Amino acid sequence: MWEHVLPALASSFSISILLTILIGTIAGIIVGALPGLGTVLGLVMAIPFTIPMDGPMAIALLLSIYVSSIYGGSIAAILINVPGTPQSAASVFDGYPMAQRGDGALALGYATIASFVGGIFSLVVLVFAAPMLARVSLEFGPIETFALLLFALMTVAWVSGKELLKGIIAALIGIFLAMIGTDDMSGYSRFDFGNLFLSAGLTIIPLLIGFFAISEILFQAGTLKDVGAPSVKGGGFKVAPWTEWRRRIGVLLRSCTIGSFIGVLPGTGATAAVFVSYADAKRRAPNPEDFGKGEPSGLIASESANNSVSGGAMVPMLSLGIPGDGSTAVMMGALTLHAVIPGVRLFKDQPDLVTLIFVLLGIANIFMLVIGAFGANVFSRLLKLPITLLMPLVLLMSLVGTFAIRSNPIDLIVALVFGVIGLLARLNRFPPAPIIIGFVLGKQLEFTFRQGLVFTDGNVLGFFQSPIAAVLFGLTGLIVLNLLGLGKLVRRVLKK
Amino acid sequence: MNNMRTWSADVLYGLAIAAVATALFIHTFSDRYEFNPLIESVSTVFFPRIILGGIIACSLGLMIKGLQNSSEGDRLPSVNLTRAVLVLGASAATAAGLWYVGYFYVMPVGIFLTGWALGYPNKLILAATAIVATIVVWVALGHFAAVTFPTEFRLELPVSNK
Repeated sequence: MWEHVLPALASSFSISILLTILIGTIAGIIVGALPGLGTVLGLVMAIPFTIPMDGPMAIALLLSIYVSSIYGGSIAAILINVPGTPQSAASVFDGYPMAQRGDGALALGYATIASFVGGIFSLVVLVFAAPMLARVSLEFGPIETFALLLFALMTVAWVSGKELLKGIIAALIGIFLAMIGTDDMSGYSRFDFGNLFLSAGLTIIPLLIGFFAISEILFQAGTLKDVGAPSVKGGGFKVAPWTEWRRRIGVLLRSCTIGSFIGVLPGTGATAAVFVSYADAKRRAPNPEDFGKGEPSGLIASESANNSVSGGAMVPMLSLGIPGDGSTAVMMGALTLHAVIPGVRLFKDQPDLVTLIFVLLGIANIFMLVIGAFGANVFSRLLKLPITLLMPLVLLMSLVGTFAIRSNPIDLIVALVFGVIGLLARLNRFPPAPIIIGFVLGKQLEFTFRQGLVFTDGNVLGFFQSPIAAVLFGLTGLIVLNLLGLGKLVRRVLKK
Repeated sequence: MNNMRTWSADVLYGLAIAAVATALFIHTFSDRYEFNPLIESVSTVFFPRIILGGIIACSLGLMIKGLQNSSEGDRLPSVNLTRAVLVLGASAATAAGLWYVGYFYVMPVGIFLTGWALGYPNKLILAATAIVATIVVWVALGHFAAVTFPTEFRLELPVSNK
């Protein structure tokens, strides 16, 4: 890998790539800052722009939007008490009180630098962890891969929290949707009901656009209370003195570690990381009573954790082809448009591309820091745009984006149908990420299962003969027991 | 959906999902998926049946959970159905218009209608935004991204035979 660093640096510092990263960073911060949009929507809307791009440029655009949109959410959180993205939910606790007392610029300074450090920290984790995981997974045959995918999907459902049954249903529905169309192993067309379009299967982009973008528009339409522009408190950018940062280094590094670790777990995402990190920072702080009243450590914990998820979530995506969260699921869908198939083969066959991804992620973080610092005032003003003016623009980009993929009007119908389904799911708190991750992994899950059956002559119990698979099945079983509420019973029996 | 409690929504959703999954499960036993064990090790619908069975089981579980929690539960967010339907209608009309009428004719109208349905008060700014956004996106995608949009009428208009 290291032999590819210099060529990767050389190609990254081309005018076209740097310009792409610049545009992606600005777009990402805007998308992150404006409540109601968010990282996934930003990535989804960027997809049509990547169509005529080559692989590296498309990756540069997507990565810069990914990284900067997570940071962008802190701007709204600090200035208008509304997180721009779910990943910045904990930033309101201390960011907004800081803005209220006139320290908005200082808060933005803390958020920007913490986000940058989090991003770079997770990049280091990615650089070392992803190749290691890819090497380990080279030992994986179809049975081990099946066990891993099953474990990943169960984890995704598990982190749905109180709605874990809905998380499982969502993941299963996602897997089923992937099976519509031609069965790659037998050539049969399944669940097409005589429709030629369905026989080709559903494609991920209209699904993503419908489920995230159009459903968001419909959700806003149905639940919007206040159509006016929000009141913005302050803005600007100010760096706190080194003495203030020095006494918060521990918080910063711990939060980065928490974010990176949680990011690696499939399906978890930045939202879980920020709350865990915030709670940890508060618990360890000498002044926990100041948290929630404008304590910078709270803001640092939140913002460093959410950006450190970015690299962590890319570890399973790049090395195993398993998306770490909804955003990486979208990125995987976009990358496949450019014949970049994340997974173990990527490291083996295209190590130069993997190194380029690492370099681009680093550059994207640097751009985020610089643009965030210099553009803070401008981005603050954008918060005055009302959601009722933004949503029609999101609709424009959604429909155009859906159509641009294949110029097929059927994709528009699919996007609208899944927009309605997405709305119904949101209203009753069905989590969206498991559906998408289930869809992304569904075909591979079936393929590895059936290949495994061929290897074991149709004997399912033969799957447990592989030690790696047995361990993964065991972990999956523990999650299922926990989901069924039997975890406590098992612990009691074991104690006896 | 307004005033509906979570538990009754769980029962309703569970029922609907179970019904659809059951119908699809039954469909997997139709003649078109005939399985020949001499040629294939497993039927093409073997794995889908497992998944559909899981969906049915979990949906029934959701219904049972809903009924068990019938004495408690939050309300679902109250939804302005009229506005949601209007926006859906505007979106669907815009999507249809994009194909049959053409990008330039339909997009500004679609953006305007969506913004109006959402309640944006200033119609002049809305109209200006609709027009500017349509042009900007066409330039950005059409010129720089080489994406082509339908720009002509595809509707069959009646022709006079005079």
